[in-house]
Amino acid sequence: MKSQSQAGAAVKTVFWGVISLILYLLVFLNQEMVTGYFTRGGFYAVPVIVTALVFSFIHGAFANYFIDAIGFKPVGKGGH
Amino acid sequence: MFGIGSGKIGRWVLPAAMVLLLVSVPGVSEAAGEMLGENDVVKEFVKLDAGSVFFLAILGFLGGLISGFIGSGGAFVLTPGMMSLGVPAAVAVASNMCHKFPKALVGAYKRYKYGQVDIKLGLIMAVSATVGVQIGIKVQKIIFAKWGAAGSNLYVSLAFVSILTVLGVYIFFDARKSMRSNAGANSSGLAEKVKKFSLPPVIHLKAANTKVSLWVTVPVGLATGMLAATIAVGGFIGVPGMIYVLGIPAMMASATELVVAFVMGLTGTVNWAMGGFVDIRMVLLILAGSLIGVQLGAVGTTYVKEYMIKLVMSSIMLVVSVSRGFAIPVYLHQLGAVNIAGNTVTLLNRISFLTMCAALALGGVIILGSMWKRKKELRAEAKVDSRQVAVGG
Repeated sequence: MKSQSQAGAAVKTVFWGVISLILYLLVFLNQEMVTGYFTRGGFYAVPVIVTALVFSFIHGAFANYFIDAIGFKPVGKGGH
Repeated sequence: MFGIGSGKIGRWVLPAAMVLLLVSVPGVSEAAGEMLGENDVVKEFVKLDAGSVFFLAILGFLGGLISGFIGSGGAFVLTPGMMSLGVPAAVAVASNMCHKFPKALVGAYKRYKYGQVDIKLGLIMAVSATVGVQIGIKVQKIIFAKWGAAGSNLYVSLAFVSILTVLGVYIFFDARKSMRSNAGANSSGLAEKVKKFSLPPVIHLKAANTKVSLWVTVPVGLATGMLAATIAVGGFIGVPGMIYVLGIPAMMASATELVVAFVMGLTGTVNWAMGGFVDIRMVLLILAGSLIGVQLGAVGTTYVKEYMIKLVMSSIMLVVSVSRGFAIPVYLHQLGAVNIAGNTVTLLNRISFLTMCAALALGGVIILGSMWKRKKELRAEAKVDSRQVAVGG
């Protein structure tokens, strides 16, 4: 049971990890253009905040399953 | 009591309205606390090599781990860390701020799932902390106008050293007392007196299962904001304030601080990003580490007893205070009060930064070490249980 859930977490880790990696590559392969637009100020604050939120969701999901996959699940009354 | 907060929709309308209100407050960008002189506001974006990428991700991981565990205190090393890569001060402060709100959001969500967050308290604290930031900035500006950048830096360092030493020592001894008696949450004498103070409006904190007068909560939030405006880590007073003044358990106080960090981080980011100072590449590199760290730290809170949160917080506070202590002679030199050779100034600055990194590493080692230890104990307990079941069956 335990190994099954850990295997499930590993699969999800790889899935979210690949999406996260693609997003990082997209930003860093076009870093000059990204920095150019994102530092214009004014309305361009919106993409800055949206990008931070998108990464926190995608990379956050990867991190969540990664921590699960390496065996650090919440325990005790506070955990699940 | 907030009548609006009773309905299902009302529960979310109020927080959303508060966040919108805060976003529209001008000058919250300075909630990073790191006061910048006019000469510091330079907009330049550095080239990032492999070493910088690795350095930022590691700093992010350790900072996230500590924030997830004690609610704040992980970001203090990031601004000087980025500046050590040649990043101008304003860009470093803005990028630090921008990484803070997604990290705090993820950490708060994770700890909310564990039943450790009191959203209402977090929002009240955040609103009053925002006002506190404005007061803190005013004080800083007066000092800056009178004694210049060195005077302002000296004031910040003295505030750092005195507040963190006093609080750090107090929390350390409190943690040791709980550790020796193996007790869980223990309430302070002050918190007991505060509970009896019932001047309306009295707020019912559902998650913490306690009632507290708004007149007590607001000063704690104000002090958090003032400290955030002075030393950039408001949580070092917000979390102890919630524990020792409001009587909230350390587990819940540290989790609720993440809500405060999220609101303050978001409002600050809006202002900095509108000025175009956020370097999104550095933000994303820090987040690469810190989103793992913050969730690991949050999971870590379910592995340890309450006193471990206090122990980690006090250890970090004391080492950070030592770190800032090294910087004091430099500012005294700049003010002309003492005379120090140029090499010694560089050396003191370097020692100060390295000690700050050591505080971060120390926090990381204690958290990961105690999680690892508990994990081994749990595995051993599970083995014993399965043996007993086999024998019994």
